Amino acid sequence: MNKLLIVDDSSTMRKIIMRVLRQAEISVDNILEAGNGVEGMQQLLSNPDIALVLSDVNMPEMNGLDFVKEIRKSHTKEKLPVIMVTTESGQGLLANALEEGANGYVCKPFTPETIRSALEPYCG
Amino acid sequence: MSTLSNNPDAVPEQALPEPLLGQLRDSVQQVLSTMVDARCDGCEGAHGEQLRIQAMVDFQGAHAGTLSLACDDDGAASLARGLLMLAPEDPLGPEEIEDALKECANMVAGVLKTRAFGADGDARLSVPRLVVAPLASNDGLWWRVQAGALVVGLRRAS
Repeated sequence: MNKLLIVDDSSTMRKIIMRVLRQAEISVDNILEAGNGVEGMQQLLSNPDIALVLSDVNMPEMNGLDFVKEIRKSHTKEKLPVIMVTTESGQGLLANALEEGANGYVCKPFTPETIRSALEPYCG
Repeated sequence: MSTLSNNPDAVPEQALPEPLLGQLRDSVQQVLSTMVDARCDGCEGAHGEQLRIQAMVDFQGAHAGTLSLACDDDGAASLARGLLMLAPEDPLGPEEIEDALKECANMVAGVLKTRAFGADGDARLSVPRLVVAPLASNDGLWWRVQAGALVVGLRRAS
């Protein structure tokens, strides 16, 4: 995979995800970071070759659900895979995320195996 | 546990029913065992005044309240190093420690929400915040993280 974008307001969680990606032996050439949905959109505009997005839900400025909505509005990003990584495991919220266009979700806390399973379909 | 909730009507956690305390204990244990690469054991409370770094997450909705996670300096650093899988010699700044505490509180609150109120319970989580002030009470569930201490408490709004 060329580029992966991690969107989370916690720098700790971004580092944990990067570490878990390495542990799960998921090969990524370049990992980009953003602290909320607004910064995430900026990264997507600047880096049109981003191949996969991992996004938190509960973030300031633009939350994960609105971020997915914005992505799906874009003609060039309508098929970009987006996986939500969230502490919120309510079925209603997760169903909402999928309705808005997310491709899947991972609930925190997670193991490397959980991340690997969620990302495997997009790491061909 | 913290008594610094913004809600003046908050109920001390001694009033929490045992099932909720058990769910809180299990939630902390789940987060620590899954995400923290460090030795974490339950222990009895002591020296609450040394626990001066507190991360808080508010529950809003039908199940309103505040979850707090407080650490002494050693506990906070051990927790951050454990989460980030850093070696003792790796540099670790105060901002990294504070962010790690907030994220840990966030995860515990998320797990507790599901365990205690169901997957679709009416409880929304706030963005975690940090308070630097001595812990005003020794109440709460205590863990030892490496050489430091970690206390997790819960106050319900009445």
